[in-house]
Amino acid sequence: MERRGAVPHAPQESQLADSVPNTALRAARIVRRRRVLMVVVRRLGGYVLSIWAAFTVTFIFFHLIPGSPIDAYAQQMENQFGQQVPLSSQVIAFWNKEFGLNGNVFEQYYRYLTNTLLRGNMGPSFIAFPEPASELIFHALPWTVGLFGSAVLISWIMGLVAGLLLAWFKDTVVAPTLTTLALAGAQIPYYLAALGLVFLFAFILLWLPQQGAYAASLTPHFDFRFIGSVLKHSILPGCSLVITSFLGWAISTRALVVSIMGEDFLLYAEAKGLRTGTILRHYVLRNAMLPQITGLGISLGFAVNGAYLVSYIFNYPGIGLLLVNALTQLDYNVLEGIVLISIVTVLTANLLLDLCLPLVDPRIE
Amino acid sequence: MRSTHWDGRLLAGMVITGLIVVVAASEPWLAPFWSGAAGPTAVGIFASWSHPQWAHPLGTNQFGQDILALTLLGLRNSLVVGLQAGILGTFIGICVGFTSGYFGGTVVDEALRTVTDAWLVIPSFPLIAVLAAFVRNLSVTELAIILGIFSWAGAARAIRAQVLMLRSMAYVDMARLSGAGHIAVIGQELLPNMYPYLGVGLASSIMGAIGSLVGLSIIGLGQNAFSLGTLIQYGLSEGVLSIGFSQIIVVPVLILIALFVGLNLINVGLDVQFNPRLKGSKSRG
Amino acid sequence: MWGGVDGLTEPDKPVLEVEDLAVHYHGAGTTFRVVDGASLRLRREEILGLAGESGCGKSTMVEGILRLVQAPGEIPSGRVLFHPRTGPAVDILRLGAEEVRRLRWTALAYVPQGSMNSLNPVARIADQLTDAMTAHGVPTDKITLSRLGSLLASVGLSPDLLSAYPHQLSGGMRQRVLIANSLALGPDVVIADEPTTGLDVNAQRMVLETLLRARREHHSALLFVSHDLAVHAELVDRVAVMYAGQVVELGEVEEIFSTALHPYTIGLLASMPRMEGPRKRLFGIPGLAPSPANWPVGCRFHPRCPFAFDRCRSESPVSREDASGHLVACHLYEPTESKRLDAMRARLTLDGGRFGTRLQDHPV
Repeated sequence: MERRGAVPHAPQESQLADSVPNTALRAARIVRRRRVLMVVVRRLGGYVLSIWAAFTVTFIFFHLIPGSPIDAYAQQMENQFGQQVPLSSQVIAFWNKEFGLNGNVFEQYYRYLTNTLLRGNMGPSFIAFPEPASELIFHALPWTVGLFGSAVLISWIMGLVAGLLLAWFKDTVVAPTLTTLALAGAQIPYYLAALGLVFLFAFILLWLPQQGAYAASLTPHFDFRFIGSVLKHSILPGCSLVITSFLGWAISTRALVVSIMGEDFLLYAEAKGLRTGTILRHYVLRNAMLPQITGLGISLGFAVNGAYLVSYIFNYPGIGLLLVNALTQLDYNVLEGIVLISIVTVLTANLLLDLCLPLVDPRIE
Repeated sequence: MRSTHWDGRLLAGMVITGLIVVVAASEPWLAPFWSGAAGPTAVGIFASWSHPQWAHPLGTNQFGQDILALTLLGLRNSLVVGLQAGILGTFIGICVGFTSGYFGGTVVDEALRTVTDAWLVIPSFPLIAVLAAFVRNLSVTELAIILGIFSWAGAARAIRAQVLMLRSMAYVDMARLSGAGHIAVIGQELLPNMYPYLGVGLASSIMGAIGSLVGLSIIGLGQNAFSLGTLIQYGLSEGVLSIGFSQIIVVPVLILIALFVGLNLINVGLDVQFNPRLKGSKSRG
Repeated sequence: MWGGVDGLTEPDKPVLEVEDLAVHYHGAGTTFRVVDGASLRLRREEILGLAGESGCGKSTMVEGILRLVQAPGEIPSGRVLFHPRTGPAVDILRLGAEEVRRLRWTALAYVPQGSMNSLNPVARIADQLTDAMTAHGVPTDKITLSRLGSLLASVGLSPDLLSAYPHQLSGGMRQRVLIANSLALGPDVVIADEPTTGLDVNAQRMVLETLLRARREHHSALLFVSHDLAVHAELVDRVAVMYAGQVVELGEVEEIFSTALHPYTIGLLASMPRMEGPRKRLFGIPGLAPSPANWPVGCRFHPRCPFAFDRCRSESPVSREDASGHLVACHLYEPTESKRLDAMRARLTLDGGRFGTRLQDHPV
């Protein structure tokens, strides 16, 4: 009998249980909590730092570009009166003070930081002087965020489902064809989709309104007619955002699910005799969700600066339309405000994502 | 395997993009067929608002310009600016990406990566628009340079990742051990393996630049470069959709969609064709 | 080692019969016949080892038996008969999807190879033990924390781990979680694919011990796949030796180790280090393992077999069984070839019961 001793240690049934001692677990938990706090503090610090950097860079950028609000004002006067208007020194001094351009660069920088960063005050607007630029931006913001946010959410959910299906049926004839089509279309800019939709639905089929956020005859009221009008007007701009970003989500989800389907744990789940629904929900979707939640967070961060042109094409009263209006009149403060708010949303979304992801994904400490 | 079988998407993308490029390149010879010797932008040669006919397949506009000839001109300009900006963007991307990847893990890499990440976060479109709005009479080349400067970050990131991977491979160490300097290693060992990715970077940069250029034109900026977007902007401001001249908008939109589809197919195809990780299937004992 | 006989079941009655199973993969313009006509019979409550070099098709055979073969693979032929304790046998390969699903885990449980990635990385251990139970109709109120805890305890793990995620466990712990999971529903058959590979000696011992107890407590039969003959010697009752997608020899483990019949098995044993007896040179089997895309004609071992003769190159041997139930698929054991068999045995005696590269110098 050569059997015994072929393995150095024959099984002995008494030596069992290498459980982790409870005290060790508790100690580990305390250490982890302290580490979590450290991470949160560090992330917050990084956030503040990058906000400061972004504001500074924006300040420098707007100071470096040729031309100033004064030039812009002169330009506007020219346009208005059709001739050169010599600006008196009093007028120049007034505008300089109004736009925070008095004093040297450092004074300006200090005033800029305290005003924009701490008080959210970006100075007066030009296109609707003397209304503050921040006021205009905050009026446009809900439209943009509402439209873009819901479009991102809708396309995200649709893309998740479509990607799942494309991956699940990847061995059929239809799915690869659809995948290629999605791949082909995924990088088409929003505004091309918007123009296509305008042409198709608003002019050929005359189904949907193509301008504004609600019927011109209505005044904003919280009633069904108004909300219905808002929804109806958001269909085309919303769809032009959804169509292309939906394709992107579908492709990334498909790629994720295909790689998950090759994972050992999926074969194991099947071997366990789990129902297809359980496998899809608990194994495939749950694993695909985590990276996609990250993607969703990043996309939502671009809510403000994602679709300027769509807003413009549909004459939708969002940031995009404001941007175009500000550009045509060289509205310094509004433009600066739009750039700042865009950066702040991206950074804030990234921060929230960084802080929230560990709550969703057990693998990230 | 590597060169015998071509990915169908890559082929389709090259055919679509190639066709568009050929048409755009032959604009100087094609356009006079319809616009006459005076060129597409000459005003008042033909009747205004004539509907599509043999002499003017897409009709003429308010100024009596041939719309087809204008479209060809816009396409050519869009491609030229896109290519210039794309090449510049890819070049910056290569420099940053290579340096970052080659010195992966060092302070140099850390710094370049931070800049790249920050650049990706920056809302580039409003910034470009602000530049284009404040700097009046931006020349075509200046516009291309601005667009290029804003479209390198994606390429840099992709190239950095690729260089990091290649760098970890043995033959790079071999080259370094045999006494090759940094530049020699990058030029002789790394670069030849990066061509497909440079193609991907170039295609993405061109897409980004054309997307921004047309976007700028649509809101009426950068008018010195008469692009497809300028045509769209003109169409929108004249309300051509309502007066039966939708081709002024629809044809440029369709061309642009085809161009984006073609470039993106090239992107995807290159990745599939040359990325060994996406090939082959895993086997079990 | 008939530890599980309790008089109620007949030990020789088969619980699983694999007949002529084939699993083919298609790719790169060729067909890889990874498993190609493999047969074996697993008796109730026995531990059957499945041995063979890596790449011989062991894991693929297991996937075939469990009907887990994924595209581009397919099962072109064969039968996998499962005999329930009551009722008629069913062919797993012919069942509908839902019938197979119900049979899984209650009848056939699986301990997969590569414990590192077999657990869902984003679900707690408790959830991964529970989902199999609920999928097979165990009411939720019967799945208590103490039941799950004792399941973990049965493989020597602390119930604390129920709330852990897979990445928090070591490789050996994960392997034991998989084993605990496979025993959750007291299956008739547990198929364990290389459950000890890659584990340190302590963890290996724990795994083997758990598997033995599973047989004793749940009366499960065990199909134990390992390339490591030493582990087989330690654990199993009978061994099936696989070569080139087929089972070439199957017998009691003592018999295989003392009087192996197939030249391949003899070679495999000669390449295994022994702890006992005088120190001897190890011998590898000459040549390279053939490719599943292109198996040799005739006996698949003939290009590497020092005893091969004309017939081996043209005709594939049929599996034959001797009085004690020892199966071998080799032309040498056909009555007409007894002279050649005697010659081989003489040669083997000369070489101290082993063959290896040396034998090539003077072929039969």
